[in-house]
Amino acid sequence: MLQNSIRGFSKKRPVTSSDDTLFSLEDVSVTFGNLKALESVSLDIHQGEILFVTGSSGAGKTTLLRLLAEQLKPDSGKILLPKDLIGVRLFISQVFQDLKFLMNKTCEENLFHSFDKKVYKNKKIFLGEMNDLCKILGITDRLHLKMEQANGGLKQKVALIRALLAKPEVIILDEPTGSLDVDNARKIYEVLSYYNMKKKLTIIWASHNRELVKEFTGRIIHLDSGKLVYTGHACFI
Amino acid sequence: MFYLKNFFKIIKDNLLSGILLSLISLIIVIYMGNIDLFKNKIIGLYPEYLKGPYFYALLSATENHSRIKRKMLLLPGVNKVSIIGKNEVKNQTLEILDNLSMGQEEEFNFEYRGMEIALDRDVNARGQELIRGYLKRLAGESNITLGKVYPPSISKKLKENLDIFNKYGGMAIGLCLFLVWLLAFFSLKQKVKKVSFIIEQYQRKRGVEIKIILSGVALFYIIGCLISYPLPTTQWYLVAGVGAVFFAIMALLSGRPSWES
Repeated sequence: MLQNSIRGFSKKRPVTSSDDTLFSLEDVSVTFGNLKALESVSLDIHQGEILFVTGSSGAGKTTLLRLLAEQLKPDSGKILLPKDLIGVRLFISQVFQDLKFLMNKTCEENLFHSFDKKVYKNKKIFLGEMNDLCKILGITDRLHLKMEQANGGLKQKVALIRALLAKPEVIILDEPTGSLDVDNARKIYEVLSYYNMKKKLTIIWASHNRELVKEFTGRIIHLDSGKLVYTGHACFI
Repeated sequence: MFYLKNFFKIIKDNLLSGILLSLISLIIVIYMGNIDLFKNKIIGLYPEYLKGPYFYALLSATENHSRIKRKMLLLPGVNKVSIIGKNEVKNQTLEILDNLSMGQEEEFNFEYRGMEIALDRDVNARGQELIRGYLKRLAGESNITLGKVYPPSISKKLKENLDIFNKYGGMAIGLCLFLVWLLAFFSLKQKVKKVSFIIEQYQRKRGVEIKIILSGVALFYIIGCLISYPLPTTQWYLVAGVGAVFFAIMALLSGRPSWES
């Protein structure tokens, strides 16, 4: 069902912005010792938006994502999170750069960490959605593999599926396609934009690959040495 | 149930620290609740320590020895009363006669039984005399012959060591168990932290780390309480104290889950 819905979905234009501000950063700076990871960054992120954060390695992408995930506090400036702006603590799930798996478990067992009884009425519904996503991303036949046996591409797909199965309101992805070829990266974008359109999922996607991001629809911000140097629509970059 | 299930999953993946934490939690509850019982059991391995001065008595075999034993044991200061059978008295007497080269057993009447009366260690000379006097009255002065009072048979060094053990040993064992518990707890905590981090990332749950570890330890704590329940020696305030210490440590050391490789 999910598979049929997603097929051919990228031709449609996903929701890219709305008036509801979800995160608001005002003059935010973060310093690690002498290194300024972020410098006076001001930015609003809206509900249901797809935001690409680009920049070369060390530009401050991961630092920005960690701020949004409340894993870091700014040294100066103000950061307003969903709970401050809309008064609700939204559920944010992340796809980390280092993926964070229990390596002695299989791909399937790692996916089961997203089975939340508050979200899924029963296991059957969860399994149905899990199998659909695995089929779309072409990993059904490799679910039995232990994470330590999985290659980089498989790990990234499992990480993405795990995050999507959690049915978050916001998903933060740190280089989610780093180990994937362009076709697979496109497939991942298709899946994400389906969730964005159908489930109003807010997507914050950090990538160093601007060429790839240009193909997608969404807002883009570009960081350079911790400074926000560009903000605009991805297709106009 | 969700947290308990995860606790056992973590134990399955980390058998050594998991089993150690579970078993030691159980053992600590039972041990601390019955610390005096266990301490006395260990001291009981050295009966000579508990036995103070002692003396022997020779009684007519026709006397009701069991009654005398029972009455004597009711007396404060009497630690142990052992009846020495007729045959043993006979054998010992024959041995003495043999050593003295007398060998005229037919001239002796062997219708006697012996009794060894061990007193508490702190019974003074006056107390000893009172106990001996009571025994004489109990059996009838003409029916009993009392031997001299021997000092306790324990060596000075062993007595000193056992004195120290008696004073601090119980708590020292408890402390050692607790240290092993802490070691297992810290070892398992890292694994619990990782699993909790993942669960909190992908499920709408908070405080997963403390809930997982608390549910597991609480289960073994309750089992420990159930095992201790029929034991009359259980000191419940100590059991409650153990629970409070467990909870305080778990609450203090469980922070926001993080992924530490």
